[in-house]
Amino acid sequence: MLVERYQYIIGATVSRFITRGFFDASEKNEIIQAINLQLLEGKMDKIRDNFNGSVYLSTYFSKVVYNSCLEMVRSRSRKPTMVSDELLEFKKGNDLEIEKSMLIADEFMRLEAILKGFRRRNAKLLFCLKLYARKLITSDDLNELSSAEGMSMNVKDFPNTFSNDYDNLNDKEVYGLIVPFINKMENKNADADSLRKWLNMQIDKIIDLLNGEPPTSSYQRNTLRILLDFYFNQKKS
Amino acid sequence: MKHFDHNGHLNTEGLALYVDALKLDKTDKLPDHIVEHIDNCKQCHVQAIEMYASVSAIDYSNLGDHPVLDHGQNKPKPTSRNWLWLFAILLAVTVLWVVNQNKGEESPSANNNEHDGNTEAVQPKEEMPRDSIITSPPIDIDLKDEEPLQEETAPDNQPENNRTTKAPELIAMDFTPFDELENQVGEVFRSDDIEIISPPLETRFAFGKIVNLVWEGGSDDTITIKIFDNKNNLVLLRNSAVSPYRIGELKHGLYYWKLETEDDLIHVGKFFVDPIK
Repeated sequence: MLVERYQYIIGATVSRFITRGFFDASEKNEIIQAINLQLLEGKMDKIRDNFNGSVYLSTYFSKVVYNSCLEMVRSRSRKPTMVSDELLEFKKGNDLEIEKSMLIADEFMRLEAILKGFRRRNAKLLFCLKLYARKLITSDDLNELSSAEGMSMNVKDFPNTFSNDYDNLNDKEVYGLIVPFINKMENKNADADSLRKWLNMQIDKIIDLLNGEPPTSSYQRNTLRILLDFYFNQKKS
Repeated sequence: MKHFDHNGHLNTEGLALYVDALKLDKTDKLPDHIVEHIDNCKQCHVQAIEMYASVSAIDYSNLGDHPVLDHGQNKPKPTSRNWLWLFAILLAVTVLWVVNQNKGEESPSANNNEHDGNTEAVQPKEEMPRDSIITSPPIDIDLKDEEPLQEETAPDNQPENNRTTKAPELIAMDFTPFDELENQVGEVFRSDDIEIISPPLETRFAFGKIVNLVWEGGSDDTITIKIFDNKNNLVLLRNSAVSPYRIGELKHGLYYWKLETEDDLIHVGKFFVDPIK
């Protein structure tokens, strides 16, 4: 039976809701049972009627289970665990308990979904976000940017500053150094302030999406910077 | 539209399609209306992000080709060659139209059947001519009729007898054999160098299982796979297919599959996908 085969999806979805603080860990089995019951009492019939094979059944099924969890959350009106900069800062240098590590892993996935969704100028955005998080820029980054943007660039034009630690530079100084390179690449004549405004707009959009609707997180620019640092580290490893 | 609910937001299918595209890194294959909606609707975008995080435990590498993202929702960029084809098709349509007009003038009663109350059984629609399928851009895959999707999350306040559960007799209709294809099933049209390994004729696949089409040989040929439902609707077309060819998740029903090269029909097979249990 499908319900049997996809028990791991139900388990993983409920665990995620527990991680995010919507359910208590002690309720896990009870919630899984309730979802199974809902599926058997009618939701499987609806899946059978509505699923038309145009998406993966696993994703479709996950969405149905996710909706069941949301319905339960709404009926309980329990507040989620907010991801704070304290938590992220603490994580930077320490091992966290499993639940908190899972919460941060979940944040990675949410951030990844947002970044993948930026179809237009995704490569330029990722490149600028790396600068924003003060990550070292490698020749791989430059090659990736070049091939994604479909533009030839001379690696020699790239300022050496960003291949070494540049934590000491403020945003204004970073944009000032990078804008001639980006201008050359895009054949434009923008100033550092335009780049700053563009990136801040993208950053605010990311923060807005991460915070959710209704809000489930309380990201600010500084918190995002820390998350981006984790994200790029994880991607690299 | 089939990806939206009655409130104008993405429905389960629409969101799942977006999430599939994120997981497979194929957002460029998404239909424009989904991308535009996600860009402009924070509520749906946030839901999609949450969904993406929710399915992180699922290994998508084993799910086979995606029914939409791997099968032709993408619009190929126009090339000069495409323009030539377009011109040729337009020319052919014009010629056919002129011929048809002339016929109509010659025998005014020829097209009157549909208006005179004639209750003759409707003939099943003919398969598209081979050439037109093979040389056209890949078709859109849509296994479903046009009825609007019900959203699973809609408040479940309908009376029990109003629910949209498909009656067993309706399900049975999806398994009724289609005579024209049925007659070809099992025939080997060219056996010199291509051998069908799997699935054996009339294999039953559990709902949601990957259907694996396996053959040996034919490495010098360009192989095309076509899958038809039991009403002779082409539900999947794959040019340049290689063995084993995995098909994602099909709706329940009876399916016929054809393996073709550019010049020959090689094999017609048949399999079933069981209803959800």
